[in-house]
Amino acid sequence: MLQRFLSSPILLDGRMSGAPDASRSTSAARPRKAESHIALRRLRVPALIVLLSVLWMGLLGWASQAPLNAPFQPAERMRSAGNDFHVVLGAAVENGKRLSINAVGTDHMALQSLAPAAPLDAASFPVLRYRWQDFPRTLELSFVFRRADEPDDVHTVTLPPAGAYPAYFDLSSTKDWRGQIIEAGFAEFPTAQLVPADIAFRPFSLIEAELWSPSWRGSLGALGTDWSAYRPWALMSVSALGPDAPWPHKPTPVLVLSIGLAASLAIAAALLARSWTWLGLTLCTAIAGGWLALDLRWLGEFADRHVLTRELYAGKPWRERASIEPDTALVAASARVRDVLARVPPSTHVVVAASAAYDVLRLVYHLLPANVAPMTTIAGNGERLRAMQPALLVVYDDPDWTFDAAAKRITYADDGYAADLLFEDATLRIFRLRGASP
Amino acid sequence: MSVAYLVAWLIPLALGSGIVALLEGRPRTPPDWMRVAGSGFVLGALVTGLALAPLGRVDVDAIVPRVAVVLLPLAIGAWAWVLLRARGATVRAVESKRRMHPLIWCLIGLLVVHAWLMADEILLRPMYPWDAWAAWLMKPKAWMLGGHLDAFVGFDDWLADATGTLRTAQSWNYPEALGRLALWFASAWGDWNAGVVGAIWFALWAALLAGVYGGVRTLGLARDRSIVTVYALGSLPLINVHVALAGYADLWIAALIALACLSWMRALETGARGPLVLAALFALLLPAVKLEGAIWLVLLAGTMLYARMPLRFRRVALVLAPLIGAGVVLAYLLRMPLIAPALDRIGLSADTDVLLAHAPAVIGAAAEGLFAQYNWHLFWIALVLTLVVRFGKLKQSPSLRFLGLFLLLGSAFLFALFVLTPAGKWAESYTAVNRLSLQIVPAMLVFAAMLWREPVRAEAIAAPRMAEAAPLAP
Repeated sequence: MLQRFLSSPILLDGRMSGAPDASRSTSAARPRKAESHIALRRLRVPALIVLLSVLWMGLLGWASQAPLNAPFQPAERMRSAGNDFHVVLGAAVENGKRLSINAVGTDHMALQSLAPAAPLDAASFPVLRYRWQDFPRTLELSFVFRRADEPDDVHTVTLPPAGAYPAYFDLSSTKDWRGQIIEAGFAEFPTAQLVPADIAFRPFSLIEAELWSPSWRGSLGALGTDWSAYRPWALMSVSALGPDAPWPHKPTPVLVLSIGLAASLAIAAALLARSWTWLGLTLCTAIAGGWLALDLRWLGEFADRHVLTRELYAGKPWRERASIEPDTALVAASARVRDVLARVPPSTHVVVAASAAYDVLRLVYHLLPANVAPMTTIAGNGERLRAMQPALLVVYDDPDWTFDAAAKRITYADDGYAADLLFEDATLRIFRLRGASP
Repeated sequence: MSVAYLVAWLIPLALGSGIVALLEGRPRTPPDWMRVAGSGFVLGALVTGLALAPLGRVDVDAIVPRVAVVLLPLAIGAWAWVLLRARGATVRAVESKRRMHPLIWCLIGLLVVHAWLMADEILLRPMYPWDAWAAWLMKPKAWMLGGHLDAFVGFDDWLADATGTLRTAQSWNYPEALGRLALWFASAWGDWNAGVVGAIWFALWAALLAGVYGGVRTLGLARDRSIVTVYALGSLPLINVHVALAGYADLWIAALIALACLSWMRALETGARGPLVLAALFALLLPAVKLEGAIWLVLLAGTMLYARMPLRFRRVALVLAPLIGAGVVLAYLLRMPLIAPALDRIGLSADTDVLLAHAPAVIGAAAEGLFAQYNWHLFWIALVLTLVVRFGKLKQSPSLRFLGLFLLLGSAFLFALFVLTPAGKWAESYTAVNRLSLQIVPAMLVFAAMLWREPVRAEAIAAPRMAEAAPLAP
């Protein structure tokens, strides 16, 4: 057993071996062999450093998907200052070379674009480098572009938000970035399902944007941005961290560290000819170090997410905080429903229907304590109801529910219900279901 | 903050810790106290939630007074019994007075940073994650704002009800222990407040860490290693998220499984009945929290029964169980008569060809969730490494092998669930694979930590009993 622990896991140096025949390796040529061993021993550490450098560079190259034949610096850069962009949605003023965006347009969205003098070859410029000043955490950032082959289609890709430093993004990770680009720009809008649209906007400035030809610097920059960019909370966050950020991802530091640590130790063990015990202990230490590094990164990310929470809610009493909900339109719709509910008995059954499950369930939640239920409960099972007390049907933004005013009948797919229309506006309709079975 | 709100916190803690102390003995050392307080809070909280069930359509304002009048005397009685019974008993408290390494203090400091971020996030943000407002906390909000603890029924029954006292929801048939617990705290507060309700999840996190620390210390893990274990558990990102964005039930299942396993380990290693009863109590609470809790209960109870079987029955079970399991899976995949339709009836109906075609993608997505996303730091790598490095310890410890068998069965259940049923789509979309894994991560971590235990009294205490168990422990 002891022999096993003293032997090298990967035997490159017989001197450390616990093999039974190890002692026979000594012979008459001992002085010459000893010299060569000393020379080899001296070479081990430099060799280890070189090999580990190559390994980690290779790993980072693989993670960043850097082209092997690319130079470190980009051969070509297409630079546009902020004031080269023109405003499509929202409002902005030129501030030196910058473009200061100070208002949003319809749907709480701002859009700035730029049409190059001649179409750009997308494949020649796969890396986007962009710089903003005071870009708010309340907004989501997108890169938008048009291609010569589909001039009427606008392609959109979500970008990691840029902080105080320039950010990089690998456009080749999106399948739409190909052909000839005839227009490109940025769009900003409230982070969906997280920030109330009506309070999301804060002024910010576009400093510059550059398109780079393939380079290691650009690819590594994109990797660094992916690993360190602010990631807002998303509904996905409780299920998976990583996919909850809405842009195409590179391999995570978790994966790179796992592979890198294992490979580093295998190389070190082989080169230094240490024992299994050394390998095990070093691997444990490396994992502990890696864990701590990942935890510090996670704490930074967590703190980043928490900054937005403090920005939206800190210093306000609970009643005010409770009213700052991300789904402003649904909160407003529920207020209109409540106005109608105020005129009916409090125990009235209320059924909510909408085309999106999120809208149905959020409306139900907002309408509490009304005696409210989601229509999906019956709309999905295709069965007819046995009996039905008079109830209100709230239809939110769902054209599939059609109302025949003459017949006083509301229909969805194959189901129809006798009903009276009580309220109607652009997105909301409220019916009184008469209670008889259809 | 009112007296009622303080009482609402005090009762679950006093009742649960009283039951734990009653079953495991009066706590003497700081780790004992942490174990009793941590596992006691989890137990007491869920018992309190369940205690609301017999109240019927009660006024929410009457909940705390009515329940407190029953639970508080029970808690006081339990503690009185513990203290009276322990009077004159020999004090065995031996606690290390060695100073802690500065690095260990750093880990505690990092845990405090985690705790502060989670607590502040909970207190500030309105209910955020989907299932919190759509399922788990929708009922207590309806009860609290409506003023009555109304019954939730199916949609058809609700729509036909003329009294207006019934309610329905998409999740009307989900277990209600968590919802009732949320109502307990909200009614004590006097209003519906997401921060007040979310604070339960923060308390759960703290209780889990305390329970695990006390549990592994009691089982003989050294102090510094126990703190490293607790840091590892408290720093896991997905667990942090489930606390910060409070409202999901998975962490409750995880805590119950971990605490049940710790109590069961104590029962195995000491042969005492009290910890076994406590483990059974934790296990029995699983279906009251979440529907899949019933599966975990079956797996845990099955393994516990297996551990108590006579040697020859264990031998038979060890041969038969894998054969039966593999047979059922084969019958399901080959659509054999009798078995396949029976599985269809319990909701496992699926085109097995499609399932098998998707299997590589499902396994890939699951592996990505475990090894390549930000959810678990290096936990799974560390677990594999621990198994390799400390396999000898596993071979020497029958109790750990029983725990390992349960975790193996749990992992097999998750594998089968995602690869052999339509639930695979939730793995491919990453929506469930990590949350279900979360349910056994604390128990896995306890298992891994116990492999780093030095050979001390636990084995020695258990020697007579475990010597019999050893030959056929898995």
